[in-house]
Amino acid sequence: VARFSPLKEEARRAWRELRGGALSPARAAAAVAIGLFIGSQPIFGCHTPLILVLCLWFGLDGAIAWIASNVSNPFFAPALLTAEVQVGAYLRTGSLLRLDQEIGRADALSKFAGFMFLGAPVVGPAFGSPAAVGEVLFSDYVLPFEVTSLLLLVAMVGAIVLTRRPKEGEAR
Amino acid sequence: VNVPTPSLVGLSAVLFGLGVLGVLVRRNAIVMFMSVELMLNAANLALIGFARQRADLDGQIFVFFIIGVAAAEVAVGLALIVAIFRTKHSIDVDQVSGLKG
Repeated sequence: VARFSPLKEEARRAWRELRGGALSPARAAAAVAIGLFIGSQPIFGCHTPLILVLCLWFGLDGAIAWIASNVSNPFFAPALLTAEVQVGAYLRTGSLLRLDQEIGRADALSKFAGFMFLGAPVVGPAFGSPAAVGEVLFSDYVLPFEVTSLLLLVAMVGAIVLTRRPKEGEAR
Repeated sequence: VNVPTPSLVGLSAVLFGLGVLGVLVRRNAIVMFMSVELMLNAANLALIGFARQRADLDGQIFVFFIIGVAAAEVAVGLALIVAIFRTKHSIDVDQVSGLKG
């Protein structure tokens, strides 16, 4: 009689789902890329859930992406975060930040966060040619940008409602 | 590539004219819709041309938002065309005279 263990079976099924199928070089590369990109964003505590959601959504290998996202581990984080802050500072002010006694603590905390969020998406994919447009878009025009996203959401809902086939016995 | 601004504005004017012609001449709702998009993008092209002429980013950013709003408009417009086709079994705009006074 084969011993039936629902818990073990469930865990095995979840693991299969996380891996999302057979591992090919392309899938491994995609998983590593998305893991590195998410892992280098300054959203600590959100890496793993984000990775899980994205990988399940796109059928990528979640386990490999999770390992790659651990690029922000305590050993690498200082170098990574410094690079992000400096790139952000370079994009916004045109020069690297001088790290010396002149920067007050409160000043540094507020500045670092802004520079980091600006620099991280650039450092992540090591990509920054339309940087100027992106910088203006996400600094001076953040509110219109968000309003546009809301508008798109409403349009999407409207399109779905308009094209939906009503169920039997349901008024349009 | 350095395209002179007058050519950009000229191309934009030509595209806009084609769009106007399309809306006026054609009766197919989808073709009219595409013509409206043509006019919209002619305006975008003019905005980008002028923004580049003035070395100003705001015009380009504005085009971003126009494209976003156009996407929303296309979604709702196509959904409306689908809904009209379901009820009228036609997308000829002359058939859709239900609101005529």
